[in-house]
Amino acid sequence: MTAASVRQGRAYSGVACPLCSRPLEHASLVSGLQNCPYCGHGFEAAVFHPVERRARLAELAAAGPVAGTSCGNHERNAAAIACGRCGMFVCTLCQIDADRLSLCPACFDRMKAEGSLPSVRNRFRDFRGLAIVSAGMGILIVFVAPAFGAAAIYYGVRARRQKNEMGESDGRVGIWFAIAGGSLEIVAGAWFLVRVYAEMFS
Amino acid sequence: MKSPAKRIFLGRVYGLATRQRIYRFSEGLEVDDVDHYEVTRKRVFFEDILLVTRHRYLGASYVLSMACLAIFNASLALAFSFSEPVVGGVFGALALVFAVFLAVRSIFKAHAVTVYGKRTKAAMRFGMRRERAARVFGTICRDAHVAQRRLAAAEAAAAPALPPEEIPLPPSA
Repeated sequence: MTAASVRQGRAYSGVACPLCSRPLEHASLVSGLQNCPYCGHGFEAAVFHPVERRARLAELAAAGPVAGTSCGNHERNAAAIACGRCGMFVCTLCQIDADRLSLCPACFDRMKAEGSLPSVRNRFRDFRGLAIVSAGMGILIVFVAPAFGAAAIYYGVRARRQKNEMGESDGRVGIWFAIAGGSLEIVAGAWFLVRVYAEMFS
Repeated sequence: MKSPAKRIFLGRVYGLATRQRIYRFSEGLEVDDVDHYEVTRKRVFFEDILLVTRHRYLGASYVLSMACLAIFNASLALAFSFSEPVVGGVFGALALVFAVFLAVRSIFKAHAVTVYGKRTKAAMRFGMRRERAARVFGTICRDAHVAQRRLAAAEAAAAPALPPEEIPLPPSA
């Protein structure tokens, strides 16, 4: 069981004290300095009461005999949009907006499974971490330094591309250190191995 | 291909079993949870923010580790003080360094900002950087205000107009 799966098992329970993590009543909170009723520690709070988004659903019967096209999934509901991928008419309950497209649920599931919706994707490989660890392992285990150095360069390049795609500007120094370290490890590790073999067979 | 929306790094939480990095994008915050070189991303949209807090904390793990290191080095300094004074002095200096770290954290404490949304939360720790924590707190509150005001205006504009009240006819004479 990974740490992430353990963490995911603890469901989010809403607003809580940031120090003792006990749930707080959102309606009773006010903005400003206040103390937790459980642990007594103080914290500064900014409380928000967001408006609920309401799906405006038009029934087909209310649309009249001329206006209405029914939703492909709900016959009684009037269609609001046509799916941007398959063209099926769907109501506001079925409408899913993602990446500047309005989709029906089936197309959304299909495109999400294909990875065609960048904004929905939520699992990525940590190439930067892999690059740094590969460079570190190459320093520790000198005999296989060229292999780890090559891995550090490969992951470093993938990490740099990932940062560019995501528009992130942080963490680039570590990537360059990993690439530079990987390059040095390839050179130094190859030189070391050549010297060792030369000593062995001389 | 259009370049993606820019993600700005705000803060991080690193613990024994936790490695999270929080970024700000146009519609909210993204929490990247790093576990065994795989990143799981969750989002807290500005429109969904319920509470933003800022507080100071001591950090039990930091205090405990600094105290243990200070005591460990002090005991080594004591052990070597008679036989090897120079070595004892080095360990004594190390013990003093860790004791200073412990004292500074105990006096000034560290700063943290936590954002609670409807479905998830984002926590950030800033160490001793009070101004950075205040700036991030203010930025998130401002963006949440703007987004929620915009949503409230959109919902109010989309709400159907109330029918005019029927004016009762005067009683027939």
